Amino acid sequence: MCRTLFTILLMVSGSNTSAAEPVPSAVDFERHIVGLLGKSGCSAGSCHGSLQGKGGLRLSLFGSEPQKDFQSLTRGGGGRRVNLAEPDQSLLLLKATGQVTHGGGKRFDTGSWQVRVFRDWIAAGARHVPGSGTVERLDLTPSERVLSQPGETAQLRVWAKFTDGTEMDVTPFCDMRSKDDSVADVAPFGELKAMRPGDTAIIASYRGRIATARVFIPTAAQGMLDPMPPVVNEVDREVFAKLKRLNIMPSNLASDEEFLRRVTIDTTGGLPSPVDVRAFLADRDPNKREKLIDKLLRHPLHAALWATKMCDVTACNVDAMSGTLEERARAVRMWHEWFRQRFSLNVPYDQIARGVLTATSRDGHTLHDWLATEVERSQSKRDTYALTYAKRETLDLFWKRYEGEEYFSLEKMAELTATAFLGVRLECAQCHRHPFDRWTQTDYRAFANVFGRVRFDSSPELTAAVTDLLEKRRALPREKAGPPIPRLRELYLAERPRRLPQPDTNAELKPRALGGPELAGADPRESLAGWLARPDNPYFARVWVNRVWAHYFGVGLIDPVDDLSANNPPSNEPLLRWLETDFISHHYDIRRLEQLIMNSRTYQLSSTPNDSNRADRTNFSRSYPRKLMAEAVLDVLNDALGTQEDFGPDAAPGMRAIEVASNRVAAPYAARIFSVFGRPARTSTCDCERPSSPALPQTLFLMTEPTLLKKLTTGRLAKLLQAKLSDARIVEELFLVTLSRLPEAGERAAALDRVSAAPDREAGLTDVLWALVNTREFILNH
Amino acid sequence: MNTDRRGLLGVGVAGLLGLSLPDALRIEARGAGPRKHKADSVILLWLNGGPATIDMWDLKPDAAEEYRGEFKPIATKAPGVRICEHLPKVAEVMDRCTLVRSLHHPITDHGAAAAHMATGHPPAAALKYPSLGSIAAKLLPEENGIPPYITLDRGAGFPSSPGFLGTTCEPFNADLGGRNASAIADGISLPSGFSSQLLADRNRLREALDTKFRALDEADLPASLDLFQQRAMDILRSDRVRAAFDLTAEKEAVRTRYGQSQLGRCALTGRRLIEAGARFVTVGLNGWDTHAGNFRTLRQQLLPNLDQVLAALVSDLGERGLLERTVVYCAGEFGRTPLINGNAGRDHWSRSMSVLIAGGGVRGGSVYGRTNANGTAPEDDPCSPADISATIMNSLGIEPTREVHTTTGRPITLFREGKVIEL
Repeated sequence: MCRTLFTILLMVSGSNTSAAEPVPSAVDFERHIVGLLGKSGCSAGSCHGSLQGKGGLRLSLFGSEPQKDFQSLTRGGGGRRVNLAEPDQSLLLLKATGQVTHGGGKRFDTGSWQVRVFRDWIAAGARHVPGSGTVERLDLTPSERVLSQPGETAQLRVWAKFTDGTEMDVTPFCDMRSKDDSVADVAPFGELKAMRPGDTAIIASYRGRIATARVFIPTAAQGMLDPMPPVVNEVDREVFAKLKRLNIMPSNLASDEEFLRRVTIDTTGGLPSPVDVRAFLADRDPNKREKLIDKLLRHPLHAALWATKMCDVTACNVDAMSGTLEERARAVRMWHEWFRQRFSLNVPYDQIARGVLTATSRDGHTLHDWLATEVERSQSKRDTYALTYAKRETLDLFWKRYEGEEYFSLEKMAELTATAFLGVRLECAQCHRHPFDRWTQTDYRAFANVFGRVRFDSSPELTAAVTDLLEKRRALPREKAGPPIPRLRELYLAERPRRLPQPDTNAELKPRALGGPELAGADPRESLAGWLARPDNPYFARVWVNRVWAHYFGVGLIDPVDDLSANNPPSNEPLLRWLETDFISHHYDIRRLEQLIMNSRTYQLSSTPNDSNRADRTNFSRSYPRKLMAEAVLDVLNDALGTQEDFGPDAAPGMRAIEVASNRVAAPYAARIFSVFGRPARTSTCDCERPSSPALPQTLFLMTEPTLLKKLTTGRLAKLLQAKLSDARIVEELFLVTLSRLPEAGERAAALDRVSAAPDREAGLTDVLWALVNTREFILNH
Repeated sequence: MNTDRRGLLGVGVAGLLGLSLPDALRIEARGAGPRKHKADSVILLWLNGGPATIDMWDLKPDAAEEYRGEFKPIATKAPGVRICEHLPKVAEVMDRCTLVRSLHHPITDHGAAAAHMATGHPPAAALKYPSLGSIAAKLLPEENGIPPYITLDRGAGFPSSPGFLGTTCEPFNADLGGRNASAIADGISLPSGFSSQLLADRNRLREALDTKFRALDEADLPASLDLFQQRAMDILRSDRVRAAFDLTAEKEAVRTRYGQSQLGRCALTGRRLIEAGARFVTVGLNGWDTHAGNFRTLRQQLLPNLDQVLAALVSDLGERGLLERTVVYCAGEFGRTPLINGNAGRDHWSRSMSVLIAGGGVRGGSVYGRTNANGTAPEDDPCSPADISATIMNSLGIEPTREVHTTTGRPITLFREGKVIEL
């Protein structure tokens, strides 16, 4: 194996001290020049790497097509970019050093090593050996590094193995960054520096390829993990294995009260009743937690909670649908119910996804049968329409989007599908910029072409059939005509697919999975669903498993959860890998996955930190206090105050917020809670729409909202006052309904003091309830 | 509230937010002692979409036709400074404003460019920089009872993120929309029948019941919530915010001067909030992304609106003696192409643009920097968003070299690249 070494030149720049700088003895276009263009951001999507290029110069994204880049640099721009006779007059150098106006500003100093690399290449004839830089493998070494204390440094190196067999240290030509630079920072030439105890990933990218390494900086205390806390299942084994490396001791097991409250909020979005709390505490069964988990996972509200989350993920937006207000309101409820049924029956996840992805309106039925069902559904009474819709195999509503008389564009279909089921953000520019993403326009368009035949319109057959029906109706006397025919459009596969062409050549572009195979067949969406459910699919199971994890811990193993890319490595790869494999081998059984997670000791750890895990935010050594979903805030308040919500036309009477399908509700109090606590608008499928941090208006809302203040006195408290209970009993009850625990002695005394100081009993107890609702313990899950 | 506990809490939270105790004390102390800087607060007027500043502040009447633009420059109260004919009222207060005509940066994407202008740093993957308002909220002494950083109607999309400073430096947003003052005040004042005494009593009990959770204070979320609870109490006790939103307290003549446009009401509210003690208020105007029909849109809609409001704000602040202590900063994410396109529009252009700054000790009546003949690039004194940001923060007494800490404790210099410009 031949290893090319760098000539290390010592260069003195200005008054600064000298530094070793890596100018190779022979500059290779693909290996060095293209690498540098990538490292310096020149070939990034926001610069010359964009489809249109910038300022007349277009480079392939992160140098994916060096042949083209070579052409652009040596032939394009009137041939002035590279000047063989006078290398220093090359426009490439003049622009990059800001001597000639450059839209991207000055990138390098005139005397810098980078400029020397460019110059040396030009001076040696600006040659290109096609294929010289094709990377077979990229490694960041060492792939794991333990630094014993803050301040300690180490050298990381990036090795590229090229297809010609040579292996080369390309460290200076890589972009290096640290996922969490407060733990460890990395300098441009790979020097790693420990900052504080913890762990983080270091990410190196070279010509669009990514290599990662992991750095550990254990906490200082010694021997904390003897003895190891008991493990329940593989989840704990992986979590504790990592904690051991970091010398972090997990917190103690959560108390029964703490566990009961946490698990009830997480599964149903509501609180346990005082009866539930008392019964659970009194239960002597050693398996009571496991049994409770089973019970809650079968709870109807649990299915509603996932349906609500899936409505977020699939962007079920009442304002982006077709039809009248009434039709749209029905559509969101059908959409929600379709998911709810599936979660309640524990339908395997791959089948749920298939039902979304391969949807057609006729759903495998004849046009005639489908038409009859639709006519009947449009007539059906309150709520039954949603139940009958949920019996359909497929969710055609996902595709029936309306954007100002326009078709649901292929690009939009690709983006929605990719974020929802692949955790890949093709376009999420509103919330996150992706300077390193590897998807090219070609990938994007080929993926979009998967949806080429999908149409939402009145198909020729449907138009004919409806005309026939109308004719028949007109022929009949009015009283025999039957129900009116609604205005119908259907989701169907058109004969002629729409196709986005290859961006450069305008050539035809076959449908292709993102980072996967070509997808053939009459409906390539079928092949897409098949590809997703293949055991070796890199995204599908992973993104779901991570979503479920993030739901139960407040932070994903991959965070943010909808950003699965080599640039964003998980905090615990072995754990994620194990969960993913288990999920696939158990046929995408969602409930089993949830049971594994919730029965683990890791999920059941207390939120109270110890000396070793206070700073931990990513390794699950304790339960992290987390915000409630906006829907849960509304339900939890009603549970505590003994009140109910009236959602008016947006939900059936008695429904809870977690069951509400529409992203926009008319009832003012509910609408305000949703807006203040951040129910997503569902205008994109990005999980960033659901904020995870608190905000001042939320605190103010809980303190002063007039409807809420009224609910304090009119609900449960009114009943308790009528029941002729002692103040102490009522205080106890108020603690149980809000914090799901009994008061401690000091708390009981403080509350009773307030009751006796208040003008009357009712006022005093209202004060107690107000205070409880405004504690952090109440409004967070922990 | 009992002062010992409050003091203790303040330090506790400061520690969690990455400030050392001496840091926190220094901040406390800055409120009292003599202050060297000029300004206490900033009103940012954000022109969302990228204003054609070449048609507003830096006209090129002698350029070739394809660059020149349709508008004529007019003389202003500041000798030698000429601006667009459709900004006649601003021309009248130009002696109190300074134009920076040599600002430039490399980003022509709306979101990324806005983030660059808002933070003084190009957006980076590894570190999210805080917006200027978040920095002010973090470092300036806080007036009790009013959020330090407020955006009105979301500042027309201004990226107000606190970045690495964390959620406690998030702005408080109030949606003025078309609503009346009492509706806006929902959630920032006590409803009728809820006295401050009752609030104090209830809050004392809340604190007693919240003790168990103090063990978790080290985590970000409980710590931020704790701070929010204190701020909420301060706001509710003082009632200053509600009063500030009540525009009916203004004389009719003043309201007329600002006009009935959304921007006008926001700007007047902004002035009232600054008077009440807010540190950084962002108001904004949408619609500046004039790829087509640039001149018509500017002449008919945008410029008359901006002209009235900006002039009203500067003169009103001046008459109240507030201009010296308030920076008015009017900017967008980038300028627009000097070369006019086929649709009588101008496209994104960040290599040259102008911003307007008034108050806060700015001399006024002057121009900083100069662009070339066609306005495509700065010729004299080029400056960057980092420089402008450093300058504005400096006028608030926040030095550009000042170190702040991320929520995870990493020290960051505010504006390593930013030089303070003498304006």
